[in-house]
Amino acid sequence: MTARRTAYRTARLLALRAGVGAALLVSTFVLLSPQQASACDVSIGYKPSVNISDLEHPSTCSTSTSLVGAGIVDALGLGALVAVAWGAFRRSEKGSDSASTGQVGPSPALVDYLRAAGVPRPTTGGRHEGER
Amino acid sequence: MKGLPSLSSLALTLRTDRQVRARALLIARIAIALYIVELALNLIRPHVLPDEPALSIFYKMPADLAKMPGLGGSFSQLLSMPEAVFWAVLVGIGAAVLLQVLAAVLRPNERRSGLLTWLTLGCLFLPFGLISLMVVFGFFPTALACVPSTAFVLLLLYGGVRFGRVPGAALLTAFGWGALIVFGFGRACTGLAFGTINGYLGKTSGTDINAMLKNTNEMINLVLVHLGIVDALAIGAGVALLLLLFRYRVTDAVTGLTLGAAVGLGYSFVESILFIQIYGSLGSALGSSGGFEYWIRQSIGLLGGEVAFGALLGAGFAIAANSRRCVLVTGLSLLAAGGGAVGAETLSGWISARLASHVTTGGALDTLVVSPFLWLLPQLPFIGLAVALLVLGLRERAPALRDALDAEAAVGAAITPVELTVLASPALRLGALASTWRWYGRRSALVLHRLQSAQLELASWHAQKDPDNDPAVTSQGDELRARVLRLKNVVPAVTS
Repeated sequence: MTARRTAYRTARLLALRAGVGAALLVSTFVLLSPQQASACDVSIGYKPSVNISDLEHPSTCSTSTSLVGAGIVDALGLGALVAVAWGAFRRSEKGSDSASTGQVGPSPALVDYLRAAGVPRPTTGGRHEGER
Repeated sequence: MKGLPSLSSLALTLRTDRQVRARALLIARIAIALYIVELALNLIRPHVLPDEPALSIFYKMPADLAKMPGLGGSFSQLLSMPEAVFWAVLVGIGAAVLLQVLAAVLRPNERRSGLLTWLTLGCLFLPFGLISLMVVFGFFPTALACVPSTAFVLLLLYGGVRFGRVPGAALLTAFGWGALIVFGFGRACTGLAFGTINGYLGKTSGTDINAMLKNTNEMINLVLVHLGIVDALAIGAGVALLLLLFRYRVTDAVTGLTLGAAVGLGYSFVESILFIQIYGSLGSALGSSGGFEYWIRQSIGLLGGEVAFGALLGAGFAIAANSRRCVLVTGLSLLAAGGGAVGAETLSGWISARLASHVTTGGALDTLVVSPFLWLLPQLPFIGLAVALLVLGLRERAPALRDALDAEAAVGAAITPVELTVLASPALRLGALASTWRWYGRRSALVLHRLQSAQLELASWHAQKDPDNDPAVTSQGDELRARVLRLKNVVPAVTS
């Protein structure tokens, strides 16, 4: 069990490093490769200038590309929130004795806390109580 | 909404005493004085065109020009003030004067005096909100598109901090102040200033095309500076008013930061709608599109711009309220927020112009990387400062939370020693919620969430200031304690 957990942790760490490394590599390549890049106008401070060639061959930061970006940011934002919640949950579970002993079920610390808080803990119909 | 405190408990912590009323009226008088100065300067400006009206806001674009694609509709609303709003503001000022005369003659009691003050403030400020309402309802589908992201940030501001939480009603008021008053007042004053600046600069350029182009650039710079200053003052006024109203609750840097961010969010909401419309209709000429504006303002840059600058200003004001160098800190906060907003926008535009020469824009890299990078780069120091203030503020709150929890644990069963460790740590609270959900289901997790919220509200009551020893505040503590015990299914002991 412990060996499996260590292997899982090592694999996760390696995957994380590989992901970050790949992202850095791609960003560096994109930013340093010789290409023409510019920014589209965002606000009044950009002092927009209109010329005839722009009107003849309009090249805009398009809505479709922008919405793809917005979708990615939404997914990343929600993913970050889920990761924070998941991390807190994992830490909470790891802090219990049951995690170290491999016991399946709520930790004694959680049971004590909920008892002190007077929170109902369904013994019948509860999702995982029967597994204990 | 069950998570929100009841209106009665909120009303108990709202202090509309003489000091608050006097300060609120002072803020309103300064704002209206500023508006009247803008009107006077506009009236005495040099006239560039022969048939120009006395006030530049009454100028009507020639019909053939207004029919050009993009120049009517949203673009004409960028800095305009509709005639109806102008007259509504004047009627509001007249009504406010009458109400104040009435208050001086009748000398009403505290409650009626408070009512008259709020009516006066409504008469003075709400007409400016008509400008924002015209934008929101005029471009309603765009407004609807901006609702989810804005609501998400509002929920983050409400749910992110649970000890010494800013009440939901206060947060919504701050948002409304930003959306209606800051945006409306800022546009009304800057619309007048635009006409005034145009009068002086247009007169000097005459018919020289080069001088006209140079003057246009200068005009944009001056309008930006003006808008930045007025917006910062209006955001500051709203935050100051709300901090005064809630001054006996926990009002530290985190409170100010949350309120300021909510005001900035309201402003950004309306501004985003307008810019999405403008660039949506003039996109092909300006190299942008409505969707691009949405991406910059409501997605990648949602927490930047006025949200970040408002947060900075709010935190500064709250720090100033508890500082001996109140005037200095207030001034520096205004400088950081107003100067930062103007500087960031100008610098972004300047860098963009350097890059843009002889280069075609519009690729995926420009849209997704270069444009947001250049827009956010000058804002980064300010965003970093706001985050640092938030982290420091939360760290300062930790010992106060522990003390408040210990104090409550010592007096009753609402908070027991077993619960102390979990309640004192946001991470442990979240972990306990997630574990409860996993092992006992959603219903138990919701019960726990409600209980924790009530317990933290009780702890916040311990931490709040009450220099007057108001009996209503003491009874509020008893109410909060009884609520926790009800949630715990504990019958409270009868006290004489």
